[in-house]
Amino acid sequence: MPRRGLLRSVPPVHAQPQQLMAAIAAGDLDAFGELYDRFASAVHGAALQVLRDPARAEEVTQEVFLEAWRGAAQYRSERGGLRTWLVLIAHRRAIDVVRSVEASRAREERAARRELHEVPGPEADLVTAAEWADVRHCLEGLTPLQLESVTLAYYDGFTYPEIAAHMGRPLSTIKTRMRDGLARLRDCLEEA
Amino acid sequence: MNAHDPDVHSLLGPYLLHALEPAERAAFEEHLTACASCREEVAELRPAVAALSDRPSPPPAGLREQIISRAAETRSVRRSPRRRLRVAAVAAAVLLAVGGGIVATQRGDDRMTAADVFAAADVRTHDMPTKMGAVRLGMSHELHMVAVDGRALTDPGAGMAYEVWWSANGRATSVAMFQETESVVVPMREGELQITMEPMAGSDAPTSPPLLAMPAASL
Repeated sequence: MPRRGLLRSVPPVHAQPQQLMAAIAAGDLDAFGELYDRFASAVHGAALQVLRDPARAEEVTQEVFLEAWRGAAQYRSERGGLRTWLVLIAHRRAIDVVRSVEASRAREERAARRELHEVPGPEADLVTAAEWADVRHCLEGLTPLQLESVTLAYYDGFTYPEIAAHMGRPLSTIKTRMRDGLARLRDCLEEA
Repeated sequence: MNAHDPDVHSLLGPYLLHALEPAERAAFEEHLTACASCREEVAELRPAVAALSDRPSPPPAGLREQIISRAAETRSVRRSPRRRLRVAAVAAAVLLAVGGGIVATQRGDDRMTAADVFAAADVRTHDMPTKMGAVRLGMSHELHMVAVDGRALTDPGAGMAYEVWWSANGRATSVAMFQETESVVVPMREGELQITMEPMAGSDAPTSPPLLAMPAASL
């Protein structure tokens, strides 16, 4: 059994995502702690933004990290950085929770209360304020149809057929606006 | 819509935004395995999707410890490659040594299962009652292995598992761990085969009296 505690006073630092995930896949709890310390705020923030319920966001955060613990061997760095990987797992889980606990009508009301260009979420802290300003700026560069298709799906958990029905547009339009909206967002963020 | 429908390709945007129902999501993921350009586009757009979530918010302070202790609980039995690999390596070495390894090595991997041992031509099986239920042991001289089938045992309790030891000259060496739904194979040795209940992370030496103790000569 590996000895823990006193004999290891300096925690290992895994600079590369692959190294960190390989250590976690081998059952290294210190490496897992490092993963948590680096990304817990990002994961929790992503869940809270969709759920707006601290208890549920905490649950999702726990599920995401335990999924990373069990699935560390499946991580492939070419599919994107660790932050992207974890944040998208958190988002998807949060959307699953919203769909199962919050009726579609409640989500419609909440979406309707939001101003078109308002993006929900906890108040940005100072560190990320600049980065978030870029995201907001780039969202504002989308066409109204792109913006609404993207935000109704991503922040309110609607499926694309629900959005098409809500907006009275063909399914193909919504699918296309989501895809070209994301492409425009990517281009804008790359310039920023 | 299925993975071969030309229209499935148009689901890329909703897929990235997590705006698909499970059936369409599965169809698109199947499509992805066959479509290299889609995989590339998904990989390119993913960081932009994640940026939509980029509002860090620290979780409550107690969560770290809670998550790490949950991870520690699930570590050993389900994911202790070290311990299992050690058993597999010993098994492979034994097979080479006795020259009887043809059966196992022709399988393309060196992991022998309990079923292999129970299926051996010379297997001797023993159904052993314990206070946690019955354990079936199977020993093959040919394979030089012992199978321990724990599927009739009861749940050892939260955070606990069964550990298998070979004990000789007053010293017990851990050879495998398993849960009540599992069976394991361990190499044949001198001494006494023992099974105890231990915390899932495994113990350096038995911490409870053996549920079962079987001399190698009786196997």
